[in-house]
Amino acid sequence: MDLSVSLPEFIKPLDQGALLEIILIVGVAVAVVVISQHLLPWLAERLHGRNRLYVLATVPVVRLVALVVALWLIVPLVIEPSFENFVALLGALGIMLGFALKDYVSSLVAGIVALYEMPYRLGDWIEIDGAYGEVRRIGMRTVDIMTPDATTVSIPHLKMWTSAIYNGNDGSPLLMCVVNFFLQPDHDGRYVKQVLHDVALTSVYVRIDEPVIIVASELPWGTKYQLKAYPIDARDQFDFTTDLTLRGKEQLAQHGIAFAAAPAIADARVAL
Amino acid sequence: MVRAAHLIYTGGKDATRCMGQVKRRRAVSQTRHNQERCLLSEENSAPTTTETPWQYVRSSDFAAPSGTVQQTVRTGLTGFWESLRRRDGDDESVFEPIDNLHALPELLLRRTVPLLDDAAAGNALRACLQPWLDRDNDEQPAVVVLGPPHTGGQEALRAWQAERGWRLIEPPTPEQILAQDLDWLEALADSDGRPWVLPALEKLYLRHTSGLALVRTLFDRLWRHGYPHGVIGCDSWAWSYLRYVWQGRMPQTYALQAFDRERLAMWIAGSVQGGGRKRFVFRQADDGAYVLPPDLEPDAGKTHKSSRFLEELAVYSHGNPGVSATIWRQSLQAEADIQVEPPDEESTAQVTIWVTPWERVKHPVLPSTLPRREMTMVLHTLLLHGGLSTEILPQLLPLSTNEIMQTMVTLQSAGLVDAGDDCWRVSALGYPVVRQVLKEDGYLIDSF
Repeated sequence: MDLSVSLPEFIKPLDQGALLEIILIVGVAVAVVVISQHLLPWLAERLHGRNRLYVLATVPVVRLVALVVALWLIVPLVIEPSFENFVALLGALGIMLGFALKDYVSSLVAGIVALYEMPYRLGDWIEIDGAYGEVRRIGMRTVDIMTPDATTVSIPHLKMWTSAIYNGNDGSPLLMCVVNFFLQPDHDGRYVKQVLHDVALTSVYVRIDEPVIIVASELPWGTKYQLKAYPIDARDQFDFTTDLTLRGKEQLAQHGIAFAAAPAIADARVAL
Repeated sequence: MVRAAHLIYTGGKDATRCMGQVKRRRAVSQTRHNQERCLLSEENSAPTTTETPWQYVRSSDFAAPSGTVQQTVRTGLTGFWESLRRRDGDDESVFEPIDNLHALPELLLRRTVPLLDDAAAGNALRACLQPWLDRDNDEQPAVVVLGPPHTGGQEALRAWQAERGWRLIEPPTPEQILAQDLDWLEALADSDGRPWVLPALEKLYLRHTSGLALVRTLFDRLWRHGYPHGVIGCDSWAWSYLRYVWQGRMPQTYALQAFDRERLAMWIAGSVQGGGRKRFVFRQADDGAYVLPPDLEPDAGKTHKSSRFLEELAVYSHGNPGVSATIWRQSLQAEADIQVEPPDEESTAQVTIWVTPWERVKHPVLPSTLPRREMTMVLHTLLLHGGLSTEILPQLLPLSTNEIMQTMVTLQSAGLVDAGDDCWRVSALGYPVVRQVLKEDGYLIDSF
C-alpha cells in the first residue's frame, strides 16, 4: 500500500534553486513594501498641501505593484505555466477561499478595488459607521484612521460593500468645516451674517480664496446659523472650528445677540 | 546710456563686441519699451529718456524674473561651449580659487552695496502717474501703488508727496482701527480740494473682526464721497487680503517693475561706479567669473567669463531690489590686505571684490524647534500688516503672549524676522524663504 501523498500534476517539484529564487523574490517584495510604507509617509510629512497627499497616495499603489510582480514571478516557478493548470489552480483556490476565508478575501478584494475607485486615500478625512478620522494607513485588509482623540480605528475594506463612506476632502487639501450658532430669533439676521462672515475672514486658519458660506434656518426655538469655510490645512480643522466658535460667540455677545438654549431646557423639563 | 552699457558684457573680440552692442540696444530698447508702455497705456505719448532701473508699471504688467527651461538649456549650452573654447587655449589661464577671504569692511560695503533710491523711484512714479494726473480724475479718484516688502514703496511715495506738496495722510492708530473710528476718514476731505497721499494702506486695517470697517468705508467713500483725488500706497500682501475684504470696485493699481538681471546690473553698476571711480571689479570667488563687466581695454582681445550670480539673485528675490541688495551685501568678500581708503582721483587702480558663488550663499531656514503652523501663522500675519507691534499681535493670533514672544525670538534667531521700533517685520534676508514656505503651505500670498 502506497501511503505517500502525491502533489497535483500541475505543481512543479521545487528544487533548491527554485526555492531560493522564491525566497529572494518574496524578500525583495517585502523589503519594497516595508521601505515604501516608511519612506513615503516620512517624505510626505515633510511636504504640505497637495504634494503631501500625492506622495501618500503612492504608498498602496507601490505595495500592490510589488505584490503583483512578486506573484507574476513566483507562479511560473511553482506550476507548469499552461492554461489548464491555471484553471485548475484558480478553481482549487476559489473553493478553498470561498468557504474558509470568505470575509478575509472579500476585504482583500475590496482593498484592491479601493485602490482603483479611491473612496479614500491616505490623508483623507473619512467617516465610516460613525468613526471619523484621518486615513493613516491603507493595508491589504483594513484601512486605519486616526480619530481626533488620537485613537486608531482599523476598518476592514469589506465595509466598502455595505456601508456609506463619507470623505471630507476626497484627495484634495480642501475640507469644509461647519460651525453652528444657535441664536434667539429676535435679531437682525443680515447683521449676524456679516459678523459671522468677518469672523471667518479674519481667522488665521482660513483658506481665504475659497468661499465663506453662511446658511440660516429657522427652528421652533430659535435661529440656526451654519458658518461654512475651509481651513488652510485639513489637519487644522479642529483648531479652525474652535477659533470660529470662540470668536463668533465673542463677537455676537459683544453686539448683544442672545444665544438660544431652548432645546436643552425643554429636554430637562420633560425629564423632570 | 553709459549705465546701460554695463548691461551686456560677453567679451572683447570684435564679433563678440558687436553682438554685445546688438544685445545692448535690445536691452535698452526693451527698457524704453516698458517705460513707454506705462505711458502709452495711459494714452500719453511722452516718452522718458532717462536710463534707470526704477520703473513703475500697471500691476498686471509686472513680470517677476524666472528661470525658464529655455534659459536653462541656453545657459547650459553656452557653458558647455565656453568650456570647450577654454580647452582650446583661447582664454585666460586656469583660475585658482581665492582662499582666506573676509567679510568686506563697512566702508567698502557702503561703496559697493546699492541703496534704495527714493528720489529715483519717486521720479519713476511721477512718470507713470503723469497721465492720470493730467486728465480729469472723476473716473479714477485714486490710484494704488503696490509694493512688496523691502522695495521701499512707502518711502518713494513720501518722496513723491514731498516733491509735489500734496497732503500726507498718516495712518490711524491700532486703537482707532479697532474702535472703528470713522471720523479718521475726515482727514481725506479738504475744503480746498488739495490732493492727498496715503502711503501705507496696510496700516489702515487689522485682521480682526473689528479691524475691517475703516478700510471698507474708505473704499466705499472713494467712489461717491467726493474726496479730492489721491494716491494710496499699499503693501502687496495687504492688497491680496483686502481684495477679499472689499469686493466692490477697486482703484487702478501700479507696481514697481521687478529688478531682473539687467536692472540689477544697472542698479549696482550705477550705484558703485556712478561717482566716476571705476575702481571696483566684482568677480566670483570660485572661478573668477565677472559678476559685473570689467573695464575692458579697447584692444585687449581677451574674453571674460561672465557669472550667472545676478540672474540667480534676481530669480531668487522675485525681482525685489531690497532683498537683492541685502543678499548682495552678504555675499561680498575681500582679501585680507584690501585697500580700504579710496585712491586719489587720478588713480586707475582697480580693487577686486570677490562674490560668494550663488550655491554657497547661505539662506535662513524655518526652525524645526517650534510647531511649523505657529511660525507660519505668525509670519503670515506680519506680512499681511507690513509688520506689527508686540502689543497688537496677541489680538490677531490664537496664541498666548508667551507663545508669540517665544516664536518671535526663535524666528529672530533664525534671521527670518527683525525687530525695530517695537515692530516685528519679516527680514529682507528671510523674505524669499518665508514667501516660499507660505506658498507651499497654502497661505494667501501676494502677486509679486
